[in-house]
Amino acid sequence: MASVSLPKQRTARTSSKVWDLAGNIGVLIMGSIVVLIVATIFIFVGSQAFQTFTVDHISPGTFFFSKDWLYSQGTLVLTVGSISLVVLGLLIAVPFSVGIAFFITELAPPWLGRILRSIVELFLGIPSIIFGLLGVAIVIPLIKNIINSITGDKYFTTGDGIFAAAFIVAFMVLPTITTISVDAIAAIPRELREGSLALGATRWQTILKTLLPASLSGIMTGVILGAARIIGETIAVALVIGGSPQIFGVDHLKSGQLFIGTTSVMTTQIFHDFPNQAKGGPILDSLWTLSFLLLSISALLVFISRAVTARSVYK
Amino acid sequence: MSASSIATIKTIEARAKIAANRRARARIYDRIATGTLWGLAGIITIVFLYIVTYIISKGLPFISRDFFTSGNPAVGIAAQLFNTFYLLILSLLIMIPVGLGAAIYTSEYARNQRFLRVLRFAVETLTSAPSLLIGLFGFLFFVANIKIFSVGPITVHGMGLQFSRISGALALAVLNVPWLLRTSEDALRAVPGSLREASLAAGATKWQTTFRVVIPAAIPGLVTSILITSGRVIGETAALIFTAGAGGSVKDAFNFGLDRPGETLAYHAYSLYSEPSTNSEGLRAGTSLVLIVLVLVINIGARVLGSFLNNRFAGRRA
Repeated sequence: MASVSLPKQRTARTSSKVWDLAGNIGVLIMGSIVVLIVATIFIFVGSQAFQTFTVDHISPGTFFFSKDWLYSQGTLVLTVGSISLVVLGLLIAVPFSVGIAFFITELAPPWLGRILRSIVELFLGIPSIIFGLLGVAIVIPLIKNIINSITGDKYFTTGDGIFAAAFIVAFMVLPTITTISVDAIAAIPRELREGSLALGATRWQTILKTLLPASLSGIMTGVILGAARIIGETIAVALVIGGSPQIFGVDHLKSGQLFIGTTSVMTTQIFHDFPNQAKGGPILDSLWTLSFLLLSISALLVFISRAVTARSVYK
Repeated sequence: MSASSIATIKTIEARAKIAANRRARARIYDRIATGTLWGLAGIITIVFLYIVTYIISKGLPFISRDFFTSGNPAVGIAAQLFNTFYLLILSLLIMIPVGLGAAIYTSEYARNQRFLRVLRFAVETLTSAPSLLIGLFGFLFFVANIKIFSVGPITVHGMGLQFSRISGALALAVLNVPWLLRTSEDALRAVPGSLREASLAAGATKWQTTFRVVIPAAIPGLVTSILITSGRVIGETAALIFTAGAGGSVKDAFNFGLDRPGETLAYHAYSLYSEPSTNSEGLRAGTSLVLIVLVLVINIGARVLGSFLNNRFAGRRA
């Protein structure tokens, strides 16, 4: 009987070896597909993007800095708008998110910290179209009423513009920055807290002088990824920013509407104009160039965030 | 007592006073900061509750039986509901083999550190790439059939799938596969190494260990990861505008044609805003309500189910 079962065992072992190899190759292929997808996106979008310079012969100087060619609007409005939106959005979001992160890790009783963390994570799930519609329904009228009652001029502002957009995107990136910061702060060893408190520091001094520096690189990672999310946010921004060809800051200073004037950003312009450019031509190409710029910026921000994470001491 | 020792005592007293002042000030700052942090936590909770109650109270008056069952876009959202779930299932069917396979690779198999670094960078870039951009890529690659570029004799064309459910599902899969990969990788990594070692020591191959030990043990985490990814898929708008297209007509409400356009709830909420008609405000409020309830139920469900399954599988109580 033993002589019968032996070859059987051998075939079982061979077939499991074959399966093992097949599985190994299979998962490697799936990993490669993911890399291939990203490479394809870069090549495809890139191939369209450079037509602006190679086929339409528009010089990069004209593309980025001239005010006169894209619907007499120039990409300067859009790049300045995107950068300003990131800065303003982060100015609101960062103190909020980092404060909440410290509250969750240092102040709140564990049950409250858990609830708050869940709420913050649920925020992450709210679709951007909902944020956009809420911006239209709540934030714009709110800004309009407050500013107009301060200035005493009923028609001073309509409420839409970069300030409304910054407010909305701040809430959208809050969960990203908060959760990454919470993880960074929680990774700090207890000895650091205890040492600081034992030296007589108050809890606030401990947070500000020990924990914040120790978790700074982790928090920075969150902030950089938040910036990537703001610069790529489309629908929520498109609904509230107004989409007007005014350069943020420069044109608004003239009209005395800094922070509340309408402007436009890269995503909004692509979103609104792409569907009207089915025939192709320089304007479609320029939208592809802007898209490639967006893609490159997010890749660059990811690269920076990885470099910052690699430098952090506590992980 | 000499004059110098009196002076020393005076400086000591003065220093003690300064130190006491400083301590008192630090305590006040501590109180202010504590209050501020409690305030911030309060604000975020209130904002969240306000958003949810606002959407519910605005949408509830427009919820009726007809709203769910009518395929007529002027009355109900049956077609959009159907499309939302149809596109979700289609995109998961595309995403799960790739995302889970790649996650198994990164957590169980990966030895080549260079390739792993490239893969991680690719995943993170795709995670933070704007959804608008994935929509445009989807339009170029899946929807249109124009020439994209040519290198020597090779010319690359788009697939020409038109504005259709399959284009939309492919774009959703590209957009969300990195999320699925990262969350399921976390789930696989959470499985203790001792289980793998025991299985390998018992003579199982790597593949047997992965499929019969690691994946079953990671099921709770994998379910959570698929649900969280589903929540993101359901809420996506920008990518679908350029791929799945508009059109939630009565005719398309319940046919499974992959080549038909598929307007989802999120896109419907947008198009009701951008192309308003007589009763679009009510429809929009109702659609927003259904959308946010779906997303919240899926996300809360993911956490509850995850911890429930975890307790069942691990045989312990939370």
